[in-house]
Amino acid sequence: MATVLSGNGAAAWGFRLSRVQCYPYYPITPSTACSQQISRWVNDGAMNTVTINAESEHSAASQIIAAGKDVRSGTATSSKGLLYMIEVLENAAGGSIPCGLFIGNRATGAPINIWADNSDAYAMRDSGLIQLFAADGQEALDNIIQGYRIAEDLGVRLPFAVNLRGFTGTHAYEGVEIPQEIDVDRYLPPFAPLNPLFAPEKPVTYGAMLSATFYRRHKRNQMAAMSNVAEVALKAGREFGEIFGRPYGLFEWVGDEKAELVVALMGESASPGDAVTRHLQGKRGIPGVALLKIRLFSPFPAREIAQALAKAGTKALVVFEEGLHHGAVFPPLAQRIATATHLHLGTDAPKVASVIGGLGGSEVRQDHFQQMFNLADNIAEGRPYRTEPYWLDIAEDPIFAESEKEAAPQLWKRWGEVWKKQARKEKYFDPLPKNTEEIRIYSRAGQGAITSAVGFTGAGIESGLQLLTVPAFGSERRGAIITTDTLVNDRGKRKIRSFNRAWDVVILYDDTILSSPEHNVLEGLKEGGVLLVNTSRLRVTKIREILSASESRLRVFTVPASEIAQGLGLSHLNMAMLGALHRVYEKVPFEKAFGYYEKHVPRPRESSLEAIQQGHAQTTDREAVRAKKERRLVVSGDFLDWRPEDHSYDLWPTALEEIQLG
Amino acid sequence: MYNILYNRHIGTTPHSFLLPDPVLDVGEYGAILTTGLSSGHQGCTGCGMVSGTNQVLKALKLTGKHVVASIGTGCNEVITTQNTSCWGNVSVDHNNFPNTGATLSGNVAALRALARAGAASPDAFINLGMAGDGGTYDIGLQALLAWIARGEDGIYVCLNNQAYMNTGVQGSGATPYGTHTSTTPFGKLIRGNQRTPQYLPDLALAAGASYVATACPVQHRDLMIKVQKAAAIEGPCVVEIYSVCPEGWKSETDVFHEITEWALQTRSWILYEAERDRKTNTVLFTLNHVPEKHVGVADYLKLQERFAGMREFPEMVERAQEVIESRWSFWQPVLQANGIQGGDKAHEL
Repeated sequence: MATVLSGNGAAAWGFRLSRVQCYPYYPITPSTACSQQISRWVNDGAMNTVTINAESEHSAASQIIAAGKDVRSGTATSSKGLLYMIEVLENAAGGSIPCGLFIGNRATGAPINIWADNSDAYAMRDSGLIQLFAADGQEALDNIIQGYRIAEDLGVRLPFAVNLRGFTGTHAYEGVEIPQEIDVDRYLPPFAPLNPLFAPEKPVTYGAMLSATFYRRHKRNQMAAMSNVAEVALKAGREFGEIFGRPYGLFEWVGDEKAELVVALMGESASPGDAVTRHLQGKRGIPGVALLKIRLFSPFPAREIAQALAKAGTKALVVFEEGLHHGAVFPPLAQRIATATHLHLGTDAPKVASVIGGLGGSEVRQDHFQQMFNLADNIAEGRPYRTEPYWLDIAEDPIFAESEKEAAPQLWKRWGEVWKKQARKEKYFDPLPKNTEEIRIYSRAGQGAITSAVGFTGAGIESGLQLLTVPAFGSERRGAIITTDTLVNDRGKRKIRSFNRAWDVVILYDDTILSSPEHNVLEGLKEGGVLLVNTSRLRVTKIREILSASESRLRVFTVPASEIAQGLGLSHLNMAMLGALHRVYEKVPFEKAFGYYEKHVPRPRESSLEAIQQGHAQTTDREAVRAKKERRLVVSGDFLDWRPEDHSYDLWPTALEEIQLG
Repeated sequence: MYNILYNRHIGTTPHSFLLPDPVLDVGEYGAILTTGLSSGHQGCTGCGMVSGTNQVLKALKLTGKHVVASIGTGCNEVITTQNTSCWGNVSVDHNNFPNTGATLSGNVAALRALARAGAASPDAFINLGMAGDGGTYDIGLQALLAWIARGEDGIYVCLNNQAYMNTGVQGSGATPYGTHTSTTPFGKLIRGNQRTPQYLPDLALAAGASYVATACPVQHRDLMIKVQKAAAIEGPCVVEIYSVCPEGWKSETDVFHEITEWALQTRSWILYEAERDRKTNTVLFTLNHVPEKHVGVADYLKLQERFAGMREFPEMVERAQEVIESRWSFWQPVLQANGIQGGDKAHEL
């Protein structure tokens, strides 16, 4: 039974189940919540780990390296924090210290940017760490456990890092299978120090200074250990599958066995790529397509990837990349793949093009993959293509331009001939089937929308559906309008993590959002979709009037959630809104969900459950008579103490934690 | 903030005044065979730091515990670990320049984790940190103060040779006023180092250290007693050791003792210690050494060519003297209690 967890929460479980003995931490967005969760467990006695409140990432890294000589150690970081660690991380690699890092990938700036890309992971790629990329919370959890298994192998003894895309990975809430402790203990034996410091019988010196003769031999040995990783990782991934039912390879091949066109990438951005690949598979006029999801970035499994491409008969390979390599021909992943195919396949190597996207939290959407497969198609047909990276979502520099007008003149001068010979083929751009149902909440930061969405996600998972909730995060002030999106997939077992951005339900936690000049709440709402508004003063007709949607097939509901919450003495209106959601959206049956809420609802439980009931009961699409006086909730201490990272851990303790914490 | 108490007695005793458990009195140190650094180190002739390190290690070994040392990058690390280790039966963790304090914390955490798992007894080990003045006053200050603030049990030794000697004598946060270094050259316009040094014991006490002391290898009994006190006292302890550097100080290699004696005589280096009693929020300061007769700083400047420039400028010498007197004025209550005239007048014991 899956439990609802964020990517950070899943990573924390990875460390907990790996029985990490020393966990120093220093906060940095977006990976902080992993350390917060571990601190909570440690302070509640649920996890037996020595934590250190470090004064910098540099010190946290120094501490995992120091402690990693005697015990299993790990920490989490992101972005500049990782860059600050790099100075000392090489000591872990050079000193054969198998400590672990979880990285919530984030841009490194300047300009400062707190959102996702791979700049931090790329900056550390020469530090000598094993680098694994996870595509979701489940993979982050599994990879951390496997990371220790690989890193501590006697043929390896190197540090490792597990990467997960910031926010869309680290802050996405979804069902995660938490392995049983007893199984993990079977899979991952206790830490065995090779040259411990706290061993009077055998004193050792770490970090000695070596002159050239010894230095070069040492570095060669270090490289040799690194080259053992692929084999060890394959074995570890296979055995992981045997015990937990989720086998892992060095990369994942999604799509056709024979694939002329391949898009390669790493990490969470594979979600929309996955949907597009499956959609394009077997379509008329489209050759074999596949998505190459690379899990092991360092050491790069060059031979294995080259063999897979050769076996699939790949002609064109487009490498999608969320990062740069300043001054280089290609960014790091494209460079590694190009080298791999060139070295192992020679003249039979597929043509490799590079596409840069997803920078600084840029959306990675389905249409991007449609463009990339179209580009691959053109390359496979022998059309010319760029020998430097393409960019996504740069208006004056599109991948396809029919005429000069669509591109910047300077660029046209340079790439006009290439553009002219490209063919945009509509068959790649057919809209994807809407296999998922999607809900968007507009709320003000601090209203508890994420908490309610996470609760809804948990209830949905328990009723057998697959759900994913992705809140939008940023440098929002309290009270700013934020969105929280939930995806519901009721079709079969295959996980879908890609939003179509066609909303079945749009919820407003605050009726003033209707008049926000920056938010068009009807944008993306499906024909016949539902708009649910928390209001005590507006009637349904008035709302239609404000939105100029009197005649549309839109269904408008109102619920006096603030009033309900106030009546019950609650400081948040989110529980009433949760009940109301069940009234307008019945895919997650209310009766069943209520059973889940009875177990997991935030405190005070009785009032929260009552709020859910009342919210459900008082939701209406009729012209309800409302009190004229505007209701506003009193600002309570709880409300003021709210922090964006607070959700779910305190408020929705999982069943497992409940048991362990008594 | 803390209340200041002065110990009216001058001198070092093996026993702690404030803390309940007396430290081990090992008597005549020279009579017991112990090893400090093993042979083969690459220290310069006349290096004070090697001597200091040796004495620290000998003192700690006499406690019968196993020493786990986190050493910061610097001369001491480079000359003792090149291709081989000169640390004998000490376990050594060299983990870069800025993070000696952090590494110390990491090792303390590992020891705690091992103790929880029943794999080691914390009582059997001493966590030692060791770095130079650059690695302490400058690049390592954040990690050091954070380690002290965490209140972990351990000893941090700063080998203070008053500049970055390992990289070629650049000015550090511990370089005295007027000193010629490669980055504070004695020029026509700007004459040597223009700032006065910070004081590690002050910083450490402010951060919450349990015990701080200054020492010099020439007063070896004093140094070793202090290190052993630090080993016996719970919590973070900081010992700063005056380390003569013939290369950086541009002095002869055979005047190690003379330079140190002049430093003590002129009060350019003051031997003292301070113990904290957390219950009463009191720090007891003990002055360990009073010069036999008052000597002006000019005598200290003589044997070291790093001061050659400032020697020629009476106003600079005067300024250096002012720095010394202002620091020395702290001890007025002790001097008075002992009938010693302080200030700028000569005194006799």
